[in-house]
Amino acid sequence: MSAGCEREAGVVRAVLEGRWPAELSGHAATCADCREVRAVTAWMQDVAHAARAEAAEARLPSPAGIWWKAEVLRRVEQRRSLTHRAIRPIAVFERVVWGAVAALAGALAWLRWDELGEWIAGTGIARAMVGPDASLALAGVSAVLLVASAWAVMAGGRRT
Amino acid sequence: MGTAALAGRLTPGVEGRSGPQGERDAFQALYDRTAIPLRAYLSRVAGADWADDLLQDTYVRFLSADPPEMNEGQTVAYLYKTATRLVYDRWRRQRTARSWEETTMIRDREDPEPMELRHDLEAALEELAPKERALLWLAYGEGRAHREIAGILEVKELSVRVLLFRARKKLARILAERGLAPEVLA
Repeated sequence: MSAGCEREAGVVRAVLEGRWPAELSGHAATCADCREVRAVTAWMQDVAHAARAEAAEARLPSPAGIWWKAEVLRRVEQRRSLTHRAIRPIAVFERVVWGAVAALAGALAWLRWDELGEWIAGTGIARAMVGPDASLALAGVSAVLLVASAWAVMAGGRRT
Repeated sequence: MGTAALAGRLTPGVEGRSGPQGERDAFQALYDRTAIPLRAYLSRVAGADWADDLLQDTYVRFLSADPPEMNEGQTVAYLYKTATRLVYDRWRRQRTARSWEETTMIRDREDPEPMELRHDLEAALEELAPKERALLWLAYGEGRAHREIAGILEVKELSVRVLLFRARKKLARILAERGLAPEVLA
């Protein structure tokens, strides 16, 4: 696909400077792309001129106000950063606690596997969930506990 | 503020001053040099209604950022780049709220006088996407080089020529639909 004429930049410059070398002028007269560039440049110059005149007349935001706003935002950001740094040890500790709880739950389930199985079978949960096989129910409950603990640890990590 | 200190380096007469007052003076000088052309750019690329808000946000971001050392031209390009990003953000948010077509229709309904009074060509420019308006403005309104335009609009330098070509063709099509193309682009 064509993307215009190679001499487009020269045409733009000629319009902006108001100086047309004879050779470029001759080329622009015969090249459709350059004619288009010439017209669009002249028009955009008019638009830009009008827009600058408007801007010069408009009441622009005060630079002092902008400075002040940037200063306030900078202080807010500084404070946020300080707060974040201050609570980081707490967040880390929280993660460690959740990790320890998860590990303890896993260890307890492993150590007291038989008793837990009997207890669950006795409550009727196992029958309700998976029939008479209590160990399957126990595995399920343990898995849920572990997933919940892992989720809690990860959620704690995201907050830090 | 690192950026304000940078502005101080660019401003003859305030280089000797230091501290917050020197930085404020330097920013004031930078603002005086750049605010009018930047506001003109924003008023035609984003629309006059948003120009002042976006202008303010552009400078606030400039002051809050900590860019590497830049000369005057690079600083101006940085401001344009920041302004253009804000225009895109605003446009995306607006598009999410309701489609661009709906926005245009509603605006036209709410504002009956402009079509006759406003310059037809400016109205045609408003029908282009913000990126196309920015391209045409920077290339033809300000005569910037393709490399600068690529930096401001965050596109590849080689793509600028093709994008400009397409934007021109689209503008020509819009003008043709309005019955203006032969007079303007012949």
